[in-house]
Amino acid sequence: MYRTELYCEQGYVAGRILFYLLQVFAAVTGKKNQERPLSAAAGQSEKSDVAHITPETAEKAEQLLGIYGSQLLRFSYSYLHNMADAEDILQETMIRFVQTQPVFENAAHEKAWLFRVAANLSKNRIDYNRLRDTDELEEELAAKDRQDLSYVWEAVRQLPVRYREVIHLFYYEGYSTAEIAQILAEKEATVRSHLNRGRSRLKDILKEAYDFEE
Amino acid sequence: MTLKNKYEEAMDHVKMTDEMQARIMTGVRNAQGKAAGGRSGEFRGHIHISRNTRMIITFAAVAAAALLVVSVTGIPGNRVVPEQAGSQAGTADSSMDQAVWSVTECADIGELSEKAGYTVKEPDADTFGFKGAVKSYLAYPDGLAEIEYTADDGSTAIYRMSPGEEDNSGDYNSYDAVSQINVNGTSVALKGNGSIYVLAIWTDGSYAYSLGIPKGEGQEIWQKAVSSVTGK
Repeated sequence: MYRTELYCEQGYVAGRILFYLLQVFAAVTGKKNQERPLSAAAGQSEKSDVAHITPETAEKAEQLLGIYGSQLLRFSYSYLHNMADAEDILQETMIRFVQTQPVFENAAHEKAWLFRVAANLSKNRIDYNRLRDTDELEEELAAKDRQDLSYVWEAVRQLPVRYREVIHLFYYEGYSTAEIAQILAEKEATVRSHLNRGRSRLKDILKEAYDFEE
Repeated sequence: MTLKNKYEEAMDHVKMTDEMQARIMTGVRNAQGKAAGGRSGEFRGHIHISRNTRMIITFAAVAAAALLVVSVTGIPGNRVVPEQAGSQAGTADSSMDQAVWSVTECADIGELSEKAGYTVKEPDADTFGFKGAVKSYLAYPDGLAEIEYTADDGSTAIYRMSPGEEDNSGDYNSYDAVSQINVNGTSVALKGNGSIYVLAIWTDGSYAYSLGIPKGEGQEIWQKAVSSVTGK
């Protein structure tokens, strides 16, 4: 399987250890970074230098999660092939939303923003993901005896990430190459090129079984 | 049913469950600061730990930080790109640019070498059946140089060169056949099935190389292909 990315498992492990240790350390040593539940009643709040997430923002996040959650999860899964990681990316995407509270022109802009954040977060995570190779989708399709689906997933999974993301957005989400270019911050010509090369690579892998609509 | 439909049906199996949605919202509500990472909200409330334990934790945190620094800066092939924190009150477009992951498409081998920071040795595509193929030159952030060949019939080949000796092929499949051949004094690992190989991996001590040809080739072709690099 070709990946266009390498990985740094050591960095990942060290990073996670550091992350958890710092959280434990923060809990041990003081209240400064204490997390603050949204529902904290007045008068119970502790002094914090962390921005408070308003109920409105959380409500909006929940609404967006309900609308786009599964789509973003699939998109992240298409990068990471692992449900736990895809869920992490989905959560981080929503956290970015409540932290930045971006202003959108319309629903399409809103969705594109979420996809772009999820794409960037996913790509940054791919590198140290090599050993976490549990592919729940592959397992589920095998358990359901759907080899016809699992071999398509397997073929797409083998694509380099720059092709895979375009294939997913084009075929699954139905985005145009211009829209994909916006989401991935690429030139449209680059997206078209990646789409064509992705198709070529799929033809290479699937041979006569290839019949993606073009 | 087309492959598009099959891909859609396969991906439809990936769904956000109610439990997952609840977990995510708990994490979102507990999010703190800008540096959100992993599953937030796993550590809440006070934990009573002795002074000695605090010292151990502090030491462990410092050690982990040191390990992290070594990992990020000292290991070839690492492509962890730090994320830029999004602006707290930024516009939607500016906040979308909070994470960076870029591959640069280069015009030719000269530009690829320039971007990679070393002279990239280009194989002779004629030797492995890709004469006249369309070539894409890609430079990755950590110095990995890639040349992708796409032939008229749609078949592809991928050549990679990177600093260090670690396998840079990105091909982690298991193959029935793994052979070692000697090309101009360099030991080259060939991987494939039966007498047809799809991947060659080698190193000259300073750089790692790989050439992948998914359609597969016999050993003689691989010998010539690798020789076109090692003979330079």
